[in-house]
Amino acid sequence: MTNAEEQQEAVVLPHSCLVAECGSVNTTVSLFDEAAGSYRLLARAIAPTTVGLPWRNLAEGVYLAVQSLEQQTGRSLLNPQRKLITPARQHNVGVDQFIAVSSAAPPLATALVGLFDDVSLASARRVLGSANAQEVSCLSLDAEQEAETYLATLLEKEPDLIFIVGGTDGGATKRLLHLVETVSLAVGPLAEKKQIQAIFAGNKQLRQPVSALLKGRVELHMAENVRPNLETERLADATREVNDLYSDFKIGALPGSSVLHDWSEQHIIPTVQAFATLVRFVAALQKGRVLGVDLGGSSVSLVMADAHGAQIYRRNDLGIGQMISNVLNEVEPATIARWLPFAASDEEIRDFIWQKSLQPQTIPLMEEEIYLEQAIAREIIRRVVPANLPPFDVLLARGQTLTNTPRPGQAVLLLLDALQPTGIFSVALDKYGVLPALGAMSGSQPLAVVQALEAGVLADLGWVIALTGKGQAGESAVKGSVETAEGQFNLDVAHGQIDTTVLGAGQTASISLTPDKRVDLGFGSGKGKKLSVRGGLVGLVVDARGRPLLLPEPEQRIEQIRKWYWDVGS
Amino acid sequence: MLIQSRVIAPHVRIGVRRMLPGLGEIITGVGQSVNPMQTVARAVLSVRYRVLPLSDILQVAPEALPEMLLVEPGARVKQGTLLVDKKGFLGRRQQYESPLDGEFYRVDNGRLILRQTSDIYELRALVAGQVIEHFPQRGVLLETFGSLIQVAWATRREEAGLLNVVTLNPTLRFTPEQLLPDYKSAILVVGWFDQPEVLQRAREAGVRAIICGSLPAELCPLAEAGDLPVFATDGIGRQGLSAPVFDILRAAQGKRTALLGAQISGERAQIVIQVDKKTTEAPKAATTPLAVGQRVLLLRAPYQNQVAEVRRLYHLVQTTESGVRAQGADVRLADGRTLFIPYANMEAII
Repeated sequence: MTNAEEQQEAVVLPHSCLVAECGSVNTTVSLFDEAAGSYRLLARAIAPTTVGLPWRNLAEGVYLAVQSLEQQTGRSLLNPQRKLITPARQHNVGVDQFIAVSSAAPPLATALVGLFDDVSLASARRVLGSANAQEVSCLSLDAEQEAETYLATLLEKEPDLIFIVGGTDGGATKRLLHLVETVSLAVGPLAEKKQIQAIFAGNKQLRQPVSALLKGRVELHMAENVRPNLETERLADATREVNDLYSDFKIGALPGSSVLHDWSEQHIIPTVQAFATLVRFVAALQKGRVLGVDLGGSSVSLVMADAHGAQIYRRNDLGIGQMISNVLNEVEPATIARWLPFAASDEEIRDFIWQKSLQPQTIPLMEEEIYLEQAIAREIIRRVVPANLPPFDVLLARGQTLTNTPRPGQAVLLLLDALQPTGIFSVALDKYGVLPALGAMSGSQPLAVVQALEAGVLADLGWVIALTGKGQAGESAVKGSVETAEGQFNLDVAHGQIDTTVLGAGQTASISLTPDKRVDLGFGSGKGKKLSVRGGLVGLVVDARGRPLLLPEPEQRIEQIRKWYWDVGS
Repeated sequence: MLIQSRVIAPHVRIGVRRMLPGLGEIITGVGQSVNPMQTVARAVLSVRYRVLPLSDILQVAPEALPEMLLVEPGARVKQGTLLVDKKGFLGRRQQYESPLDGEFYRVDNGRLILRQTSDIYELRALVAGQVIEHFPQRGVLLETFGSLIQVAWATRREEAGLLNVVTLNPTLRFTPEQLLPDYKSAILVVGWFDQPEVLQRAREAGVRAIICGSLPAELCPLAEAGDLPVFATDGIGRQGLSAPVFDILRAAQGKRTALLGAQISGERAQIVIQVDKKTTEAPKAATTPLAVGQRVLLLRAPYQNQVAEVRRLYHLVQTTESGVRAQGADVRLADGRTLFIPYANMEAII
């Protein structure tokens, strides 16, 4: 074909988009395009992430998944040189846009420097907790070290990033500069081994002297002071800097990532950032508060978003794959066993966890192993749930352990046990694993994202009413009536129970609820509510087990867990 | 379809990578033959820095300090070497001597930094073979011949010695009472063990290393903390040795064997059982897509450690008996049953 013919054929299908999400275990490639008058997910394919041996090339997994998409759709996406055909042309050839999202790189090993643990360093830790970064050392007035000791620490930990905070704008300067002098001295030998990035997000009047002290030793980036005054916390700018550095220096260092860079007009986006963008997008659409849960192989994230922004709670050292064994550093096997509908010894649980860490890609097949993985998932998610989780309107969840349960009720029960939320909300699962992809697209193609969400990329599980307030087990916690097109029936859920009403997908119901005077539906103790809900794969779940959720004594516990699973349809 | 693979190969040409933990010096040439105990490369393992606040001690401005120095950066210094000679008023002098043997690193904002190096790490070949490639300052690639088994889990220590297969049944538990004095200097092969006393008595008996099919998670930290290498071929638990691994080990009784740790990130630890006979046969490339007829090792219960043959590949997601959905293949077990197994739950044996 001549160039003129190629130009004539070019860009007939606008805005078709191919998104590759390279996770720590799997790479998912999704193709979005217009079909039957709206944008939708046309196809997706999964391949192993090929960043490790024997491939050591991130692009190989992407090629493989794209080739699988070509087989599924009959659309040509790669030319004979394995280059992405872009823009889209007639005859089912090519794609207009390519976006890459990744969490396949290890987090930025970060050395924190700041004045006090409970002020600026607390803010800095919140920045790290919402990005792909892991604290490896801390130098502060609370934990001051001699230059010699700090130098040894830096050489041992080999941080990628030195994150300096401290001082309110216009406040004292001397003590922070003294710490930065120590950093300056200590970083020299390390800088001979690797290029070190540094972010200064402290007293902005110190930018010049900090810059002078670190000149030639680190690549220094300036961010807004995370604590411009004691009452104000500003994390967004520093978080953006950390995310950019992760994208440039960790994802960018993955072998084969340059291929994806060449295909894309933008940087490879960290998965957590793309997911948070999507959660915020849905919050704006719903005009409410949305909670996103992402349980990955090597990380776990919670994103709470509303019209004002998003807060991320994340652990880069805990996940259900490679990082699963770290859960044993924080909980005893017995703590995991309490979520099981059968007895399991500490040894069985430990062996399962260690074996899973060696073969993180594997999928449980036996019922006992499925329940055990779900029990571990509960404890991993619990590690990132903030102390006072505010009520929300929508719960979005992703990750194989949540989206690939044999029965959807198991995912609902897992989330309720782990999050222990309160209030009334709907639950949906990222059944095709495309939410970060949609988040990445939402900036350039918001309409496409709305249409893709409406076209069924989510598995709608239904609604949950989670009560607070305690009462005698067996006594009524909430009564009500449910009216559907098929008729009307009554609800009466006792304290300690979890109750599921089947409401099919798309079926709407009008519900009138009257709680016990000690029970709060989210509108005040004893106050009732009329609401309209839509059914889903599980239906309407009323969780009257109370908050915090107290598990029964060991002898009754297994029976109780079994019953709860049964009650949610498992 | 690409799936995980594992080398469990009898008599192949093996490229053994031997890598230093940091930058160092290669001391064997390409083409040179080496024996297992021979050092192929060495590196300085630890570097310590001493920071001396000289401008405070001598009460001089930081910027004045460099002019007073008697040594250049990079110079070797001994304890007592004069580092600074400061002329003062009325003929008074202030001198400062090095407190240690080491290297003058540099002066930084009035502070003098000395560097001490110690602990030379000697990287042994552990296999008999020939150096076929250098990785400058990092290590070498050796060529040798024999059986190669990639293992699921291993402690960090490496070892070489003669193999002693002390179990007739690959799934049998090994107990401390079964450790005999004549196991001294041997690399023992056992099914699995779950008593810490096995590690303790093996050390006391002078056993060089233990190869097992599996061990419980509880013992892993203990094994890691000790100096006895433990290589678990098939993972964590009580399942023992898988059949293809046991077949190779059983046939290698008394053979010269090396237990090699992961040399680069993401690599698996491996067992190399050497033979003198050369071959051009190499393990199949791990990047080869899965095909019908491929032998696979199944990774999850209830078929864990069983060997099967791929009969049919599915490109679309299937639902397993338990209700979990996955892409996978129909495989035939040794007993003739054909099952659907997710790709994620199998490793190609190459």
